[in-house]
Amino acid sequence: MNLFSSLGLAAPELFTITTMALMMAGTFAGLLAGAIPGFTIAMAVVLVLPFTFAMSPVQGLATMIAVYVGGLSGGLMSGILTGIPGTPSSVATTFDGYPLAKSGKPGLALGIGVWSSFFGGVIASVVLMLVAPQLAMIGLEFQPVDFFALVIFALTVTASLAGDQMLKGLIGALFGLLIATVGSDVVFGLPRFTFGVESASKGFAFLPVLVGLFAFSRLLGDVRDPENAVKRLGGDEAHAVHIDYVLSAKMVISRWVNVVRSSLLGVFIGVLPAAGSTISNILAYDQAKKASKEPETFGKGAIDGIIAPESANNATAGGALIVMMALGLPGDIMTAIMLGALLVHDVIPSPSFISDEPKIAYSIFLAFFVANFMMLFLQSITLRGFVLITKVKMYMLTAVILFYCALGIFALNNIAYDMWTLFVFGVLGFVMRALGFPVVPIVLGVVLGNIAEVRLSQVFARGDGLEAFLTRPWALFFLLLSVFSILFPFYQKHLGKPGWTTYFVPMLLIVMAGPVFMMPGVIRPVIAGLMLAAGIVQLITRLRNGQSGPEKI
Amino acid sequence: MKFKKSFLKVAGAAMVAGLATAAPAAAAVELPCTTAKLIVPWGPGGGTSVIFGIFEQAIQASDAKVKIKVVTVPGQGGALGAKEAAAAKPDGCTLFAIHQHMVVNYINGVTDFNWDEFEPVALLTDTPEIIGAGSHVEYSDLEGMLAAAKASPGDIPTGVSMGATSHFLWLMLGAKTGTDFAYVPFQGGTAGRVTGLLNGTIDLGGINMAAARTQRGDGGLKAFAIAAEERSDLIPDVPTLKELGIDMNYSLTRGIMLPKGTPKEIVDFWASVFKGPTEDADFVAQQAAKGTAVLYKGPAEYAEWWEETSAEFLDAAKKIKVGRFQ
Repeated sequence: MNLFSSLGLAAPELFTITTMALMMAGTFAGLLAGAIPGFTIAMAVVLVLPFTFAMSPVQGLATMIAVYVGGLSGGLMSGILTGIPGTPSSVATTFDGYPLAKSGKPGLALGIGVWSSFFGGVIASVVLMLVAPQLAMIGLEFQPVDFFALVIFALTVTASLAGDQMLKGLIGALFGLLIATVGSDVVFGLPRFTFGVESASKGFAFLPVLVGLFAFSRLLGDVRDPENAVKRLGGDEAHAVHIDYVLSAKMVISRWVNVVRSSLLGVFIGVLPAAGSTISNILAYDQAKKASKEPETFGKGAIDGIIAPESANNATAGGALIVMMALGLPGDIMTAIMLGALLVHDVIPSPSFISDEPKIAYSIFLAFFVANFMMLFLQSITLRGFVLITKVKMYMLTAVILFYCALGIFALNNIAYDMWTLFVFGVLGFVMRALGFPVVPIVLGVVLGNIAEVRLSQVFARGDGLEAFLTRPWALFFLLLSVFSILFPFYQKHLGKPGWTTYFVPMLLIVMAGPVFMMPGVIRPVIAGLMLAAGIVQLITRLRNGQSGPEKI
Repeated sequence: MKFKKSFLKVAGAAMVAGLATAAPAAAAVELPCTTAKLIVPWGPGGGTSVIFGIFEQAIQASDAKVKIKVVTVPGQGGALGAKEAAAAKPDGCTLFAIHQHMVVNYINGVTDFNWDEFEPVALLTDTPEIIGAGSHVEYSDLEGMLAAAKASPGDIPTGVSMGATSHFLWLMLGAKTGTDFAYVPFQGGTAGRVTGLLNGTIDLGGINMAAARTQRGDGGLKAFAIAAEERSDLIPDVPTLKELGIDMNYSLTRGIMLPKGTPKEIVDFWASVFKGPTEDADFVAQQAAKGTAVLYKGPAEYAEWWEETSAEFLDAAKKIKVGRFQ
């Protein structure tokens, strides 16, 4: 059955008035939930799940996908306007979105964010439909040792993103891992570092830690200075905010290379189980910064710095959907819940799911595609409302956001201990920020700590020796990339001066060709050959010239 | 404690005697909530949450005065949810979805209490375990598997949740057949193991009916035996362990418990609420499609079942010297 006949089968199922209305409602709910810091997409999807039980499988899944897409894009509003990511998927959006909004262009920042989300989502849904089966097979290649290497790579990347503060970033990542060890060990469930406190035996719930480190600490910083506290967030001219959709669309389209690269990266990360949009937005930002001709503008309101994370996080949803549908393997919390919804509707995902149940599978693809248009439409209406936030004085906004954060955290598990976790990590985050520690590596350490531990224990339980890290292509691939990402800040610092930096890019190509060559199939060894050739050519020209050419990765 | 246990037995006896009158009596119960929390100690999408999700829907549609809401509290092989449920107020507003994991948790020392920390309400479903393998293994039946295990004891990577029922399955099988495996810790229940089997991270693992049905057809998984009394209609070509000469049944038998000290009327009330769907043919068919048989036992019978099952597990654990019996 080909793509078009499958789509033809699915379309009448999806395009009914009821389903469309439900999807609209879902998108709006997602936008709303994503926009409020502390409310995560996962929470929104969980809240919607019970409503879908009474619907048909296609309707229910379409509604949940709408919530998912809405939530991914909703995070950008609060991220850009307040500097607090509405969801972990929009962390990198704040790096440049917030400065740009602060510098008096909140409308532009929002417009770019919305369009990037849209294009990211649309590109991902096209990829989803075209290459779903092939991509799913790559995800399946990952064995425990590869996962562990991937976690190491993710942590070193976030640390190297801190630039000059890389050492503090690495310390932060390790500190995050330490936080993740509190509670019960992931293999046997025995208590660890709980100091006899019963509530601590669950470990620190991830969301209170995240909201505390990100939101609470930033809010504390914002109102520390009484003068700042009574200021309006968007300055006094905030009411003049105008979102120029045409201009921002043009700006996004003119940077299409970045859009496509970030979207594809997002899809790829989505296919990797457990990676998810929390990582993809940061990696895409990193790639955009490396590819940029003016990396120094990053962090100060660079347009590319908004495009990259926002197109990547929406695209990741597409990748995560592929794996969830093909393997029944959730890539993140959201797809874990969606998987539950599939099972409730008596749909059992497997590698043959897409060919066995084309109606449901392609309805999901189509719903993902359509939800992006709904998101764009609803954003253009609701954004006006959200821009009003910038008129509010800082101390009021702080109080309200903090209230919602606390409410959202409490609503998640209904335990007061989580509120204390939020408070403690808020204060901790404030102190660490004041000391110049970046908080992103800490949070990533907390999120990935358990995954890393389980995977490493699987490596040893299987009886794989440490040599598996060198003999498994994906593990080697990520470990080598980690080494280069640690070197990267030094490379950036010494760029343009004669010395080792001249050979950084060719060496990267040559070295990375190794693990790619070891991968199965025909295509990847061929790619490795091309990488090797390109690397050697560059190396030779540079050795002859003895100086660095224009640098790009 | 002593008093409460004997109280439970008296209550149970009274329950059996007055089963016919239990339902009207139950209707008179007043609970301080309109929706009770049903703690499922596993993640969303897992077998237990799917089975009780169907109960939730059915009870929602029924005329029961108090509805239920499934709340998943995953962690520690089911022990985390158990601790939360055991600590809840015995007012009938917190229920606990349970299977044999409680005894296994106790044996492995993850909890220091057993099933008797709860009031049994009703046994509801029975889901047999299936001995599964990845398609990459050379052997194609149980005999071949056991031969391979005997050839290299403690070497075949087998996916389990450490200290949980999926681990105990292999320990019991090992005790009956004189084999030992390399246990690779997995999270996320059956779904996690199936992925591990598919990509060759592990060779063996317990799988459920859903995985057995779809993945076998695709050639991703092999199913060697079903640990039930009889073959399943859904996978009729898979033999039972007993047919293969191993005297062992192993299924996850799910039911509902209430915190210790919950008044008898409330126990009876919930028993009657959960009994409703089990008598509905559509509901039974819905569960059967997931490889789960519906099997209702009331509070007294359920308590007896626990007594027996717990004793059986504890005996096996003492024999093979695991957990607290090492």
